[in-house]
Amino acid sequence: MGEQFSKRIKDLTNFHFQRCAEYRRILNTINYDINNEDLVQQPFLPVNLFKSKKMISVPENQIVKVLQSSGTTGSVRSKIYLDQYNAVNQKKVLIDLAKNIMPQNRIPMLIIDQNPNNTDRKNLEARLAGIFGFSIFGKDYTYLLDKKGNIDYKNLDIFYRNYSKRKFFIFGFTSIVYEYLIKKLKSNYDFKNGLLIHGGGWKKIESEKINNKKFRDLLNKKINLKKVYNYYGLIEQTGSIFFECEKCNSFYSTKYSKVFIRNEKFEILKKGKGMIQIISSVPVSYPGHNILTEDIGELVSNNCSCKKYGNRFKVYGRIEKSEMRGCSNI
Amino acid sequence: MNIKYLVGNKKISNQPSEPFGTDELKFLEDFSKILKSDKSTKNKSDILSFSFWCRKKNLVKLSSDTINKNLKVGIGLIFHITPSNVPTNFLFSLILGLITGNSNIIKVPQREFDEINIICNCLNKALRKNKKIQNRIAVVKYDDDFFTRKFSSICDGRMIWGGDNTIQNLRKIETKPRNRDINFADRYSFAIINAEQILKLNRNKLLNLTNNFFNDTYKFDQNACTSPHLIAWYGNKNKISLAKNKFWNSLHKIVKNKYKITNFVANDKLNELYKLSIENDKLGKLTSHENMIYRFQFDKVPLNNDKIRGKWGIFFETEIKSFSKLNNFINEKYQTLTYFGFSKKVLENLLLKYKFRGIDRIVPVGSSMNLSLIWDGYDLKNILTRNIEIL
Repeated sequence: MGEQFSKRIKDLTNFHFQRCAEYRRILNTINYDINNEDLVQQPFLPVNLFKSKKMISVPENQIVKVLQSSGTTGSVRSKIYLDQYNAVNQKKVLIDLAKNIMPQNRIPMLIIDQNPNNTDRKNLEARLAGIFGFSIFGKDYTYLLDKKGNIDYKNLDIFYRNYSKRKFFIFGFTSIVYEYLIKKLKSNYDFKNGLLIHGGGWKKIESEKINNKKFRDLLNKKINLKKVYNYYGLIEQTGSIFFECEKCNSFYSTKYSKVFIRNEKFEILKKGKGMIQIISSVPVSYPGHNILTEDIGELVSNNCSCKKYGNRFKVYGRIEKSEMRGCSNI
Repeated sequence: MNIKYLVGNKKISNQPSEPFGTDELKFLEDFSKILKSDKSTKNKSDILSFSFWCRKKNLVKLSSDTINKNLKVGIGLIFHITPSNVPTNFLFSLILGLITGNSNIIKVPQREFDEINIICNCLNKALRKNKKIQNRIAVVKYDDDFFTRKFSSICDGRMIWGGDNTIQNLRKIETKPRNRDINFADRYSFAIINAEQILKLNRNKLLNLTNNFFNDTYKFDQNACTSPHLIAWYGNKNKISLAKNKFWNSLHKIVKNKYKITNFVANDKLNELYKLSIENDKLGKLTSHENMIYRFQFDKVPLNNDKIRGKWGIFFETEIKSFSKLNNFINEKYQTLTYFGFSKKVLENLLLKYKFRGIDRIVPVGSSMNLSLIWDGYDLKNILTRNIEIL
């Protein structure tokens, strides 16, 4: 798979070089040899570049979806442009990635969020993109939160009565799952047949000293929910996400992806913490196949059975920003 | 709608006093001593440099430079709007206002900065000893434009830092008819280096030079308005080529020793580099020294080059055989010219001959951040004072 993947990534680099003027300028600047097949040496883009630059590798009238990173008001968000092929392919890949976790057929789905009924489906924010993306595994959708953002017990009880006896699917962002399922929900529910997939990062709840293990323990204790899967992924590489191994809790890459860890000189680290670089064969309509993230991670080399999937890693959160120094004129 | 007085209170005077008055000098002398000896300023080099700057000897020297037989007083009350990202800038602005015989309201950034709290504590300590200055300084923090309008309506002058956007916004606010605005806009700075003189340097002198250059640039991540982005090499092609190697290799050593490229810096620097590449198609060849130094070789300096800025150690280079070429790109945005290998006389003649639209300061490499009473082309000891005529 290694060689094939490298070739695919090289081809994507070539493709974007031909089709995306912005990408071409970057590669020209660094004098990159586009015939280079070495995966390690393939050029990567810093994730923040998608915040300031519009980059598209297909004719603009073919764009059917624009995904946006989530962010606080006023902060600049990444924008990712998808054509039909890319949007469909993302779904296919997601289904393939989740096949070890999810049953073949659709199951009732409880979404730990508000119903985004009136959302423009062309411009999707990360949270909604997550919900819509994972909705392909569900049916009989029920949203846990009402319009005011409170738990909708009436709806929940209907869902609970009808579907909790058999397998059901729960999806939500990590911080929202924590806020509502762990903290706010009344504790007289038994979710032993539930299967939770959650992602979106731990930053918001780190201050409450919540880590993955504690998170699982709390869910187990409170609502008897045992099947809990965290995933790591960026809106900039939607579809190509990394699920956590249920045994060793590492994230693993697959035939669609590969992870490198790099230090501040961009040297590859086999051991120790560094910046996570994610490479994916999924993005085609925009040059997002090779991205240097702002997250810190570390490769995992244990003997767990998940090593058959691809290389494995842990995520430790965002890189620490340094203070701005200088004069007024920026 | 809240306002917090970090120093002083609502009772602010608008009574002018004479520039370099005894009370002000005494206050600043005490303040300088407090800054120097206070535990809280230990290891805060940017604060300590102020202690050095406003020590008595320097202030007396500054006052003696201002000999003017005319009767002069401050203009009254000055409202300072200081930038949100540089915690120590407000102190420079305050000292300028005070030393020229004015009362001062200083708006500091909303964001919490250790530096600001430390400086304000020291100001308060010094004020306790100098009662006459107490109604001359108010340092305020607020989140509502209401206060900006209020202070703008009572002041006699405004010192506006923070760049083009801030200036435009403040212009829309009503002030007294005789109010004076001193605007510190977005500026661009560059350096000229004489290749031949670089080739004459021995190892130590070269290290000394590149260390000075480091202080002009990396020390503030190239964010200071005085930090050079463009390096113009003067001389013939061969000498320039040799001199560049010598200079950048030496700088590379210094950066390796003194500059911490963190993951964040590395990531953002790459982002800046790629943004620059996308925005400009004529940056020329890129040379890199690891990811410590990135240098673009302009074939020709683009017309908009004051918008092409480096950060975290990204530079642009050009070669000039004669000074006449400078006139092609120097515009009114140009602030500081940092130089090496020229006599003052040569530079003076250069200015007299070409009368550039820009360049307000010409300083040797290493001195780009030196503060003075002339800033950004403004002679502040005159602008912040009133000349009185008696016939």
